[in-house]
Amino acid sequence: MSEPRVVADRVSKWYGKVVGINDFTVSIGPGVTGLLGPNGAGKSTFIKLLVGALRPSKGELQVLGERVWGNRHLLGRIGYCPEHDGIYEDLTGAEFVTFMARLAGMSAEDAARRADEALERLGLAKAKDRLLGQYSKGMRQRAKLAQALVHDPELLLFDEPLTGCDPLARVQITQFIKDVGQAGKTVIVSSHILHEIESMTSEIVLLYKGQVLAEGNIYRIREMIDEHPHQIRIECDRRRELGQKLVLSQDVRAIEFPDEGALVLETHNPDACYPLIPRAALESGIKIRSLTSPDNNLQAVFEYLTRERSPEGVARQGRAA
Amino acid sequence: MTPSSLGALRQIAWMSLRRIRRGRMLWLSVVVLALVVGGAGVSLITGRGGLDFFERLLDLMLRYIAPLVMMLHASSAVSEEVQAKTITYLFSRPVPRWTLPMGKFAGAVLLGLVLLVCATALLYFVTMLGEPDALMPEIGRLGRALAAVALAALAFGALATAFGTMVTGYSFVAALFYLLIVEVGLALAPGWLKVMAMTVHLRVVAGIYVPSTTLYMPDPRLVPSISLVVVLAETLLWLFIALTWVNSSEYRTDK
Repeated sequence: MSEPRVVADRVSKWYGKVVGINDFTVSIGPGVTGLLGPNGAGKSTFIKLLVGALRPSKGELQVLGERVWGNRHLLGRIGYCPEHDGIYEDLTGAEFVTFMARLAGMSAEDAARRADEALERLGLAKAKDRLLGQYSKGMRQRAKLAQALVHDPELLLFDEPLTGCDPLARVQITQFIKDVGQAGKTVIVSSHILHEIESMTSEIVLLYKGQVLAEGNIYRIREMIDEHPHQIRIECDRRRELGQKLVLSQDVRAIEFPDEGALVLETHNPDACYPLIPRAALESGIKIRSLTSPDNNLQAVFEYLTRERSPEGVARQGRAA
Repeated sequence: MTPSSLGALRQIAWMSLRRIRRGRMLWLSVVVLALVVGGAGVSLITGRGGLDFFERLLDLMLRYIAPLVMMLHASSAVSEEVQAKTITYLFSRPVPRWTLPMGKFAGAVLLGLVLLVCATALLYFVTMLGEPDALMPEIGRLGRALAAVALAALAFGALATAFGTMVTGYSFVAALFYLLIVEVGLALAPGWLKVMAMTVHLRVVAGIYVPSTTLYMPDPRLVPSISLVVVLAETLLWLFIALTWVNSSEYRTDK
């Protein structure tokens, strides 16, 4: 395995009494790694610690083999694209990226050339002389990525890079991030949407309430997610009648009637249940209006995983064994 | 790659100047200064003018106009970057943190110097149209006036930069509050309390400070060379406060 580029050893960051991240231990190698977690999970705090914008309250943080806080020389090896929309609206795209390249220590000629290349790579060549204030959300996002990339850093940190982007910009940015990762750079991307991260990488770190819940290959994490009971919500007529039919199947663990016109079934074997539902409905002449899985909501998965890790969850697993 | 501190300073000053040039504050400053010069021109019609009138207007420039112009440009030093969240870009680059307020200070002072020196020179020539015979013989007064406004640009630029670094919301209001309450208050104070006011020393340098007696306490007699040192020392003190503050602050942008 290649040497880790980012190592956090029991790092904590508190904002007064509020916990940003807590006892955070993780090791990240080259390629694209996704930081996945709901809002408030600590993704941005971790990224800001990596870029030296925040000082760790506790623990050791090493980036590219060096400590971060107060180590300005390290910043020349890092490219950072923040999650917020703030940008120099009164500078043009070219001025902004050139300025950022100059601040990275490049000569005027190199900075201008590299800025042009970065903007062209992100599809902003034609708009480079327009003020950033006139850019669309997707264009601003790409300008932010261009400034992160312009000085050819070893480590790239992209905080929620797809937020607010239109579908075309999403495709372009996703491809760009994959390309950068394939070129051998270390890229850390944060998002609260599993699908976004999956489209860029299979290596993820799951964060929840400032802690690492799991890390590794996305398929392993998917397996963990699949271990917990899967819920399927069915909106239909005569829901009790359909429920009586479905509960007879050994793959259905439980059935609930949360609100009028809907039933929710719980299963450990969703692959078997998905064909079962329309068959049962067809046999009874019941019309299904919609079939959704609330489990696709990442929050539900995180809550399940944290519940299983809590003392109550461990005790429950012990009783089941 | 790591830029030199001087190189980073130059880049930030360049960026600051470019942004000021495109912003509204520049026009606001020009309007304020144009009102003073224009007002002097209009006063000529009513028979006012001459050296005394120039010195009265210079007093107004040093007490209120120069501080206001510098606050318009320098009080947003770090605060506007925090408000717009753009500080995250600057602090993600391998530049010393102190280059941010110093670069902003340099940009604001450069622009402030040009505006204030031009306006003061124009003011002299306009007011002296009311006393044309004294225009050339008294040109030395203009030299001292220009030195005083240049010092005012430095001193109030440093003060505004310090406020813009320490106060991240409403820094202009905070700096203006300081100017109107503390600075003006000290300048009006009796006796030796006056020596703490920058405007008093600027007037000494300009040669328009006239000691009098306030509340039965005589004003101190001050010499230009000492006043020059005091103003420069205060400038350095404010800059030191700004640099110390920026080096030790996290400046959160997620509040």
